[in-house]
Amino acid sequence: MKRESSARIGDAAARWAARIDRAPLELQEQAELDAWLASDTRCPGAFMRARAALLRMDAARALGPDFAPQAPRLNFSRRNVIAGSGGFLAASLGAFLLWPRSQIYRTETGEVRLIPLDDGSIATLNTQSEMEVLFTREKRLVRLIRGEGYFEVAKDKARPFIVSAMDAEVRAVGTAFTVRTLPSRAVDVRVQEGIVEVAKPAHANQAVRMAANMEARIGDDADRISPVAITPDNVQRDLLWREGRLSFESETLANAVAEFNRYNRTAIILADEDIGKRHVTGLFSATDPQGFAQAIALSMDLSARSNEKQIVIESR
Amino acid sequence: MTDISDDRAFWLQRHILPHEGSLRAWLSRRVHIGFDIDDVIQEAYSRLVMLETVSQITNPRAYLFQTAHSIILQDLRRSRIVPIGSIHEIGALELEASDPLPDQLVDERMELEQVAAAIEALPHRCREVFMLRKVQGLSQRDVAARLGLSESTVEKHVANGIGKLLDFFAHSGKWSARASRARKRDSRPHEKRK
Repeated sequence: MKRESSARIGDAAARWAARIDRAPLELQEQAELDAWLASDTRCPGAFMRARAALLRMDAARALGPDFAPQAPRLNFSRRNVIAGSGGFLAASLGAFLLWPRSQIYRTETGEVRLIPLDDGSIATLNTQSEMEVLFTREKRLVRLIRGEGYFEVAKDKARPFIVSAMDAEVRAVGTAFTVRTLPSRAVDVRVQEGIVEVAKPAHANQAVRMAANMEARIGDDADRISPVAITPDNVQRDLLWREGRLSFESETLANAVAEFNRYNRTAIILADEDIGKRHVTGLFSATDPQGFAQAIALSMDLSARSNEKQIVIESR
Repeated sequence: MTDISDDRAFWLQRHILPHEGSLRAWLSRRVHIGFDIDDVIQEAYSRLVMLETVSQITNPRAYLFQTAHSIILQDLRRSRIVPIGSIHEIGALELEASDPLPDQLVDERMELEQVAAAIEALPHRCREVFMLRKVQGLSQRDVAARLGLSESTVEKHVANGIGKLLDFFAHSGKWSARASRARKRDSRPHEKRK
């Protein structure tokens, strides 16, 4: 039998609650209600939830007979207001701009920021990141100064979209990809959609093409760029940071901890190196190092001690 | 089955409904693609309804969270959804790792404001019905007579209103999911001349 949707169950529950609110049920109706309640494990919950909502409104008696409801309030969320004024600001600036001018965007620890660019592209900056954006008539230039960015590029054949980071340059027309600077001064590029060209500016003639679901690491050690294929699952999992989540699949604890420390002021410290070699798999909230440390401690039989500044994971 | 009592409905509205918004926020932070949060909520209420007694529950909020959590684990085991990686390994641990806040007594004044705001958010006709039924305390039959509507129309407005109220309670006000998800958006782009 097809599973009923929660929305339909919710509607039926509201109808029954309203029916009971009108008058006691007839015998026949009682039987129907019983049958419905038994039809799905969610039904009794939905039914009582609806009755609870109705009961809660009994508190309205306390509003008194003089209560005059106002028309529903207009819902100007703060976000809309900010977006609105931002758009206005951008428009007036646009008219003012006579020569190209770059903008710097940065994120704080734990902050993930969605940045709509003038051409319709969207950049999402991960924690502790910084980028400079400069659009000219011929090119759309983004310099990733540090950290990580995910770029969803609007198609514009006449103006390539170029992200440069350290010793790497990624060129796209219309596509989506991630660029991340690593502590080792290497740059990691992952392509989620479409095709990009990756090159070191010093060797621009040796550009390498990368398609969706490929990754390349560009460091100053190797002179050839060799992209490798990665599974689409991995690509999607990687992007969970945009929703404030971190996902690890058989990652070493040392790497997982380093990843967490990018997002939080409270540093996680591993008491000894051996602990760091263990493997961790799971999905975590990026801004909850405490929860992560305790989950790790519980699953690996370690202990997690914490104070305001740090969390130490050590052997029991 | 329908000895589901009024007492339990009263207990739910007093101790569970006010925490539903934060449960939803909590779930949306921890629960993964493919899960229907509404399913989990309905199942959770079902379990609370099926309990023999609720008198032993000293912290309803924590109990609610715990219940939702165990439902998710059960669903994962039944594999009705496809988890990313092996969340279930970690899912078992996560709750212990993040105790929900202790039960907060719902502030009476806030409660009243919430109820008033909920009425105000109803569509026009529905609002009239609720005003008479809940603020004036008339029966549905008297409401029908007062508004010159049939009883079944009034009942439909009540049913419709319940749905709207539940949405309202689930997604707004003091127990808002939105508020706890709010992110820092302070820094405006710094401008620099090239």
